[in-house]
Amino acid sequence: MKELLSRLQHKMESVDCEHADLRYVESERVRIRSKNGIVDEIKETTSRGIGFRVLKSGTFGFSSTGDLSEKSLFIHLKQAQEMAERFSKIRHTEVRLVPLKPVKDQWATPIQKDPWKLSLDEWVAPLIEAETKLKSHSWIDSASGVLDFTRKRVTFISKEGSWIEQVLYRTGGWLYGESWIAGEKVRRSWPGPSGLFLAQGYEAIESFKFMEEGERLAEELKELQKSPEAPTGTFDLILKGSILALQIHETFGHASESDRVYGYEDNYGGRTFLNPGLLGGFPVASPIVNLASHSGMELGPGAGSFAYDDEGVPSKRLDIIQKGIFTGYQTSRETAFFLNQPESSANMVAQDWPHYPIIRMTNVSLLPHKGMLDQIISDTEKGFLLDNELSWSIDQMRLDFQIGGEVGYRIEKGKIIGLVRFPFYHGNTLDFWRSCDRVAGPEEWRLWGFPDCGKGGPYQEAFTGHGLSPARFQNVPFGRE
Amino acid sequence: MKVEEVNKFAGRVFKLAGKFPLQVFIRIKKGILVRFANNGVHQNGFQDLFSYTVRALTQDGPVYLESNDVSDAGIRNILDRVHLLARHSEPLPKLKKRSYVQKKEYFPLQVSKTPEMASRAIAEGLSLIRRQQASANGYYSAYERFFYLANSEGLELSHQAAAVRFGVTITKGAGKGYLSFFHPDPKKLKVTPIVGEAMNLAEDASHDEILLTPGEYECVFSPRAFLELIDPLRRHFDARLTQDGKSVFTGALGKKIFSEAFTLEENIEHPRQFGVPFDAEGSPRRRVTLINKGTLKELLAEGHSTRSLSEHPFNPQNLIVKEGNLSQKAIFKKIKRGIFINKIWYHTLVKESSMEVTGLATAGSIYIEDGSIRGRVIHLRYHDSLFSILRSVVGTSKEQILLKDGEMGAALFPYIWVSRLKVV
Repeated sequence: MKELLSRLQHKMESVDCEHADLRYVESERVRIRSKNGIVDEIKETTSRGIGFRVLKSGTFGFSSTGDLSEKSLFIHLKQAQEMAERFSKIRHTEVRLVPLKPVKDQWATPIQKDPWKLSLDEWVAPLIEAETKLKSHSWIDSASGVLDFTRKRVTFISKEGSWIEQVLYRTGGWLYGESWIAGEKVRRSWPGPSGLFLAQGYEAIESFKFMEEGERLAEELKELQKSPEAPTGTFDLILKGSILALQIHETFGHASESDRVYGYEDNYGGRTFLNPGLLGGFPVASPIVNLASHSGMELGPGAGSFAYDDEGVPSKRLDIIQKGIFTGYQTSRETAFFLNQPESSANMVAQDWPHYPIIRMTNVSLLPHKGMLDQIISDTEKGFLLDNELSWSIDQMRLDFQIGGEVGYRIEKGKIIGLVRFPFYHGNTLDFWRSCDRVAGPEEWRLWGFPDCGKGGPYQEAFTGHGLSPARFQNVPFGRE
Repeated sequence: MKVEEVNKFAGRVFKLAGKFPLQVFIRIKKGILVRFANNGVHQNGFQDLFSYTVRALTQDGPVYLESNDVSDAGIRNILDRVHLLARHSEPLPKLKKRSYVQKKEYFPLQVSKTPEMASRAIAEGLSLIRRQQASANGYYSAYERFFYLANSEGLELSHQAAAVRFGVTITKGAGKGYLSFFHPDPKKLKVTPIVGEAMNLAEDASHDEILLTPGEYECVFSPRAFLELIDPLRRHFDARLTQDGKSVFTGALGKKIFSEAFTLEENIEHPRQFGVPFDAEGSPRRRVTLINKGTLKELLAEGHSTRSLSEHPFNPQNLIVKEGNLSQKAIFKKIKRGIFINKIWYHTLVKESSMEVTGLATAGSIYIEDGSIRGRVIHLRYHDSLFSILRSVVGTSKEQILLKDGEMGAALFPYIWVSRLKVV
């Protein structure tokens, strides 16, 4: 394959265009579902193919194929060029790219245990054990879980001379128990309702400690049997874990994707309230809020991590919000040019070889401040601590949101006094983040991550990582009158 | 890959598998998707996709292996994995019935011409939009698809399909109007009337700005919005889920649960419906009346419906809502105090037992009072129970619009008029 790729690079050098690149991708994914201690379904997908991108007359053309014969690949490279030329006649504007130094490099996600070197029994053992235990409790109707392993080998080659080979691992999973309470299915999950994904190997699964956490889920489901539904009203809200990751993801994570500024996602992913006039001096959150993105591993093995994005841009840190001020967009080489920035923030990602790379958040994290979660709880007069998301929706501008949690811990006079079912809160992104008065310190900081952030057309999904410490928000409206 | 080549390929898989019982499902997709914004194309992509899924049954559950490597080594690798993962393989169940609806879904589409078709259609639309001093975003896609299913019991099925889709959101002044089109026959796409109608909606929405106070309103849902609205109900039409007590329809069979004005069926046999006439196990698909005049009539079960490849075994994929007698415009005239929702966004289930949902309306929601359009609704979030909404269906339009719905099916929906929707 390497020789064929060399010939394709040589061919790209001779293509009359402003830019050309290709991604050769070999991807593998295994997803195992289990229920009540038995493996319920196994799905394994392998795929390989090439996507060509050609910039000609100020317009990109993209063509992809899984037919790896030389003849087919030359046809698709030519097709990408022809499509660029054809659509340049009805382009929305001239696309120009910020410069990029060509790179020759190799990188692999550092892992300790390669899932592909383990057997099915070894994969599922901790999950099955925890599920069996969880299901053994009389009040648990079902216990289920999922394990998900991805390995992707990506070779990026550009006309400018880059040749980058990467091996990317993503591992995640989750365990959940369900009980029927007052005619309603109530679920408690760990680490999140759609898992926690990390740029790691099987060690990620081991770190989830399913057995230990399963016992906690069982106890909480027992307590939820006699717990009331969440009240409506205005309360202080503490978020931790997966639900805070989602809050970051849906509000500032998506809002700071620069393709939304230019309407590129108008017909699917939506737009953003963060217009370029707000960049640099506009307070979008309270001064203790610092939000940074790092597409590499500087902030840990977030599920969005790589060494180079799908335009061959090296990973880097981007400060999106500093002391509450909006300071940076997630960009591509194209939108960095529109924004008059010297370089891309390395946020171009394609799901797989048939997909056009688009701007994706990688690892967008809330940086730690100070203190422990226990201290935040003890400093809360009346409020709720929420864990794990259950439902969510947000408007096209990323302002009006409503998010529901799996469970709410009722806090009165600094103490957790019980649980509530179906808590949900709503708000406006700016008001909400400006009301953030506590963010716990580095001791509480942990990475969370999702496997299925949807965007683009054709629809594509991406892994995203979110590091965070628990945070408190004041006077948040709960429920709907 | 041509049909004969697909047959030959599947033959190679079965030969290499020997006596191991399995099913092979092949999907081929070729075509283009182009997106435009700011009155011009900003993204385009051509896909040439082939994949095959080998499915084996075990005592516990199914094992699926998917690949696009057609070499003997690639097939052997997949089969080795099947042997490893499906350690206690079981024979595939024999199908009781093997008569399939004849469904023509393929109309000539030269895949190599799809870039040209896309640029012509988009250029035509944009020139109209520019002339009206408006701006637009949207998409055009044209694909050819081929589905093939065979199993070691000797079953062999195939289905060829084509599809053209065009969607546009026009912004004129402060108003937005959205309309989309889907049909397997590319010749059916007429860009000018679609753009014209979206433009009319944008003009209607550009008049005045209405800020709704929270409360209950009459509502007319567009076919697209209604399809998305009822999505959380889909998996509950599974007979097994209902028997297990895990469906919101458990215990409701034969009972009136929705308005008499609401009839919903799963029906690939309908002459205006399109889709694959077999499910992912090879069972023939047929007409199932799910809701008849508000009464839960039938559910989807083994042997006659839509067993899909993974998580939701029985999912309707050719839904039809029965049409009414009034035109969409005539329904608007009957509205006392209500809204028209054209497209919904981030529709989500808040609580399952009561089917409590929330979401937002986008792309030109219109406020109607005493039968007249008063202006655009600037921000609309609903939070309501799907049961309450569907109990309040007043009527449906005589126009029915064909919508793409999933990979293997379509929906045929009219405009739906309900007497109450809770806006928060």
